[in-house]
Amino acid sequence: MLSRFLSARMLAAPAAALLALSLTSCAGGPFSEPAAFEVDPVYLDPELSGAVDELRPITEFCGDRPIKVALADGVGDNAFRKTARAEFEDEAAKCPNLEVLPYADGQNNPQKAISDIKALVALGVEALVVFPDAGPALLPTLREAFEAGVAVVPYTASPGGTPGVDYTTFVGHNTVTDGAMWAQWVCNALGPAGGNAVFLGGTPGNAQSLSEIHGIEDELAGNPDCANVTLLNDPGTPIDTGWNPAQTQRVTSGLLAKYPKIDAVITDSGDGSLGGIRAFLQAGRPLPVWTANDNNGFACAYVDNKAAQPQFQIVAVTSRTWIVRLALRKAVAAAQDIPEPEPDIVNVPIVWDSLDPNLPPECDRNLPSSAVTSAELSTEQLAEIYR
Amino acid sequence: MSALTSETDTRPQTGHTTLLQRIRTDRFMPIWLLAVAVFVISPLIAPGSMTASALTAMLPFAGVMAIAALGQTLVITHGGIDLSVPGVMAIAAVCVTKLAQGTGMSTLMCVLLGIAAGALSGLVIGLAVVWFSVAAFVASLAVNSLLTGVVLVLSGGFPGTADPAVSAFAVSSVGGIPTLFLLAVVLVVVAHVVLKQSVAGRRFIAVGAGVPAARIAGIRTSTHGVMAYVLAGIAYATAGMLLAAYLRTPDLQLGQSYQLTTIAAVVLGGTLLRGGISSIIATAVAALFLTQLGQVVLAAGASTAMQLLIQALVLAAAIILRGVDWRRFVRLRPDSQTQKS
Repeated sequence: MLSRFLSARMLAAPAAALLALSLTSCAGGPFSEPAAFEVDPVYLDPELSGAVDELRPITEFCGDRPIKVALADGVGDNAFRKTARAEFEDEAAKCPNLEVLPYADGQNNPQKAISDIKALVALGVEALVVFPDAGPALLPTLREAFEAGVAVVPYTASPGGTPGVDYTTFVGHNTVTDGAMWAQWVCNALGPAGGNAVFLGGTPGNAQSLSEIHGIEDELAGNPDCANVTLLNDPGTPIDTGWNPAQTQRVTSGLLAKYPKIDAVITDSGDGSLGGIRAFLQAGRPLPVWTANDNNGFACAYVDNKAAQPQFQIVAVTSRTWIVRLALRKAVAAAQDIPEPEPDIVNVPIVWDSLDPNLPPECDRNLPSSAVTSAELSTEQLAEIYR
Repeated sequence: MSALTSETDTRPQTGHTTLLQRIRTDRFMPIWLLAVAVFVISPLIAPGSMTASALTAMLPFAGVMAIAALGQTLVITHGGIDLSVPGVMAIAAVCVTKLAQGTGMSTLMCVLLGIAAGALSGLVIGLAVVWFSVAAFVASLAVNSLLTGVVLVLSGGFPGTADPAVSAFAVSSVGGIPTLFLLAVVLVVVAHVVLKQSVAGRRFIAVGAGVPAARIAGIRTSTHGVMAYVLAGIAYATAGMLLAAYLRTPDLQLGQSYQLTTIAAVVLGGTLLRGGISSIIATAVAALFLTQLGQVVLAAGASTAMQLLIQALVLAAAIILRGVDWRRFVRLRPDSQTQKS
């Protein structure tokens, strides 16, 4: 009896592994169903969206009254945030009546981000630009600041809530049109033969990637040029990479194991793409057509591989670090009671397209791989922040 | 494995030891079964997950985890715990990327600097734990925070890029097997042999098994206690440098995912958290198991939620089942008969 019991128990460990592993085959089961996601209406409202040529110089909104401005970041230790901070300070320097308060880095800690905003309000900030990484968790703090008379403009990541009630307005780029633009380019690059495409997103459940796949799916469904392009993702579900090169490499290796043919990779990260490209190279598979945001390393990867792999083509929309400038203009104009006609949501342009002779990918070997070269900063300023 | 068996099975070995007996009594045996199981099942779950290219992609990460977990095994052998893995890996990565780029130092110098940084951080933790009786998790967490700050200062928030020659070495392979994996195998085997067969290694284990007894035996327990953290720091630094070279442009959080997975690998391998009983080889097999498990759920197309659930379930099942004292059941039959008579 005991030996039978033992035998059963002895087999239990491998059996548990077997059972757990077999659950993966239930990829369509209840655990893997994505939660229903609805694109933030700000991205779908044509009244709020506009093109980059509608943007105006800050000098129109400086006003006369001296005011204090500040940037409260959710996290500060990456190339995007450092570039955006430099853009914010560069923009503020164009108005002599603006005093820039110390930069606040939330260090990826919602509690610190909240206390940073409260501290800036206590210091008398009147125009506050916030990158609300913590999302809706920041909403009560933003509302508190707004109700205290501060012009509060969250940018890029929507915190939810209602503009005019919880904060002044939300400023960002149109992630839905980003997705549509990438999909359209992929369809053109693959031609009538089409092929298989995958979309790699960022952190699990992030609104940006979910909005982008919404745009991709709509474009693939509605564009006749995309008739033969198949998106391998589960409907509405980005493949998570955490925007991290190492994880992107692992994920891409997994996809290469699963799919014998991948002709296009749509991503929303230039940094992450480097890991994905490496996975293709290590697997000895031909590099597919690839989309991302602009990033120096991504351009260099193209330059390094294009001769050996002529089918490898890339496109990049701008990493739009300059959106923070628009956020500052909106905040300053609100603080000065000056009407601000610029769009809240910007349809950002393509900056590199290897198929377009006018937009060749540009690799600058003097800048780090993570450098955002589409920033509205001079080469000297870029070199200084990446030093 | 004989050395391991002798540690874990104190019953008199009479006659031939069958495989079943080994499975029942050797605490380091289940991980081998789990590892075999995961590789056997992989093609059934995700058909492409056992192809040469999939394995080539997985093995370097398994190697890096095995090296980092080697360090954690040494610390846990002494009943400690080390949460400084991400900080040490990051600072070592900065040494072979940002510093190498910015200062023009030779690759060898940068590698030595990275190892020195790992050893120094281990020394600080070891002294705090052994000399000042600070709880190991507090000391190592504090050093981790310190290192994270230093990394940010040194790097300016930007990861550098590894030298192309270093990177080429990290991504190379010998006979189709990734060099990183082979390097990990060599390091693990050498560490295992030194720990189990050398006098210094046996003394090291003796201190982990019981400080008072080791002290009475004339062993310098404090020195061995500190050395566990120093050697662990060197292992994390090596893992960090190899991973940085492999990724070429690593992010500064490259070691974050190794903080708890190294502990999971050690426990899953069969090393006793209280110290004294450990196996570096079993830890390395656990690292291979965890990496392949991660890869197969990825290749199966499971969502992130599903991946985490599966990994947690497998870990929990393996660790709970390990908690059962199989030897007690083995002894039960003759013992109970004796009591009845």
